[in-house]
Amino acid sequence: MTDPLEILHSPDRPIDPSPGFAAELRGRLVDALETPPDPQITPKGAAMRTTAVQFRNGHRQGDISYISLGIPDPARGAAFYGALLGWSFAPGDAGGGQADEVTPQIGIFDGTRADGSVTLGVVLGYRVDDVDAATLRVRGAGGTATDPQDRPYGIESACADNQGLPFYLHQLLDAPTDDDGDLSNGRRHGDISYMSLGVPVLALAEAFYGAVLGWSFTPGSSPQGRQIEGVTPMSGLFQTDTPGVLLAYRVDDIHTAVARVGELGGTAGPVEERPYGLAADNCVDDQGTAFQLLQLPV
Amino acid sequence: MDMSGLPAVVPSQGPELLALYDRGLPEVYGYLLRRCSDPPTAEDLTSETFLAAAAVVRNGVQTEMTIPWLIGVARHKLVDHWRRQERQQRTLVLITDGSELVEDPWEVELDAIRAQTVLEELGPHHQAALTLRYLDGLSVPETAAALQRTLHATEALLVRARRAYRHAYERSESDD
Repeated sequence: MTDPLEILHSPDRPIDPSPGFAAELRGRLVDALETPPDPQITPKGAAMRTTAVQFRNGHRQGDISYISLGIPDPARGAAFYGALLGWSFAPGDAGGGQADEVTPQIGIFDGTRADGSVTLGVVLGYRVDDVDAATLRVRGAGGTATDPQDRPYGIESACADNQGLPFYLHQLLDAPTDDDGDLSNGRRHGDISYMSLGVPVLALAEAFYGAVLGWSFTPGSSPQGRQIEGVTPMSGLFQTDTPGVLLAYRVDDIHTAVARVGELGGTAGPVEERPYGLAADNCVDDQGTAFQLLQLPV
Repeated sequence: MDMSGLPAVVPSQGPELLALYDRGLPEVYGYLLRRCSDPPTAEDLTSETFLAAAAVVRNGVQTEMTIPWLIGVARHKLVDHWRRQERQQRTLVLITDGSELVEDPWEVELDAIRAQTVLEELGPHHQAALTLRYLDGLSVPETAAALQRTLHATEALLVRARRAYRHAYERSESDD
């Protein structure tokens, strides 16, 4: 007679755990094996100066908490963006400063990294609920992350993704202040209305940011593009040979803004009509930083 | 991740373990989830498994890095888990004269899905014994080794576990 309980014996099948868990555990394993962090990647951004966390610093995990804009001459950069977008600055490092009233908050600095090298352009900070767990996910997903450091505004880790793109993680001290407005495309002239994250390989970026920040993606307007779901401000991912972050600034009157770019020593592409509003692509400031302008229906 | 630049202080099998992790995580998680049916517990035990594997590597113990080895580590973690559960739930230990160890033959063909569900409803010590013996397909001496019990104690435990299982199975049928 066969034992009826033999029916319990059947082959096991592999089951994938959640990507976040998989990345976090991989990070713990990397730590446990004493893998040293990559000393090359220690971006130093324009330090967030506020200690009172605002709605401008994101609400949920994965939202943009802060933007560091590295410009060769920060004082000149502050003058350019102040004149174009109405940003006003609190004093900051190396002649730049923090534009407190912009959503998300943005700081201009000279792009000098902790190791002395210079990274120009945008480095984003992302809000996370638990920065210790998030750094483990970064390392587990193939990126690098410094051990979290206490800052006046919370806890911060300087990171690079699995393709070398620098960013920060911020676990902020306070919950954001109440704001019932929709900030997905900014609200005022000078706010960030859209963020485009350019990466060398789309699939690698989807896997990395999905595991680390919980982002999910829907198809974008081109096969090499993805819309990032539920992130503030509204953001997209696209594959490119020149990786980096491209910001689209919201303006009240795009024709006036395009003319102003020229007056200030920059260049701007032609104004085009899009389903969502009027856009000027291929804008460059007077020191070579690219950006876009968007005029959205009020 | 390029592991080629790791300094000499990193254990030589570290990169091998990370590669095994990438390959074997679904196998380990799948093994554990089927046996504890609770994703958070399966995640905890998966973490314990790989961190134990890392400790082995860090201690310089040369091991053949294979998925069956990982499953073996996972099995130890599962037994520890049941042992913890058993401690938490322990209320009464019966002193027996051994007469209960006589088994009635049970001639029945079990329904596979019900069979698994009933197993999950048993107490941790019975679940542990039957899972190792039947799901994992271990022999009675191997089950005894995994449970760190004597062969005699394991045989007795299996008899009791089968009886508890049979009662639970028949009860589940009559409840329908």
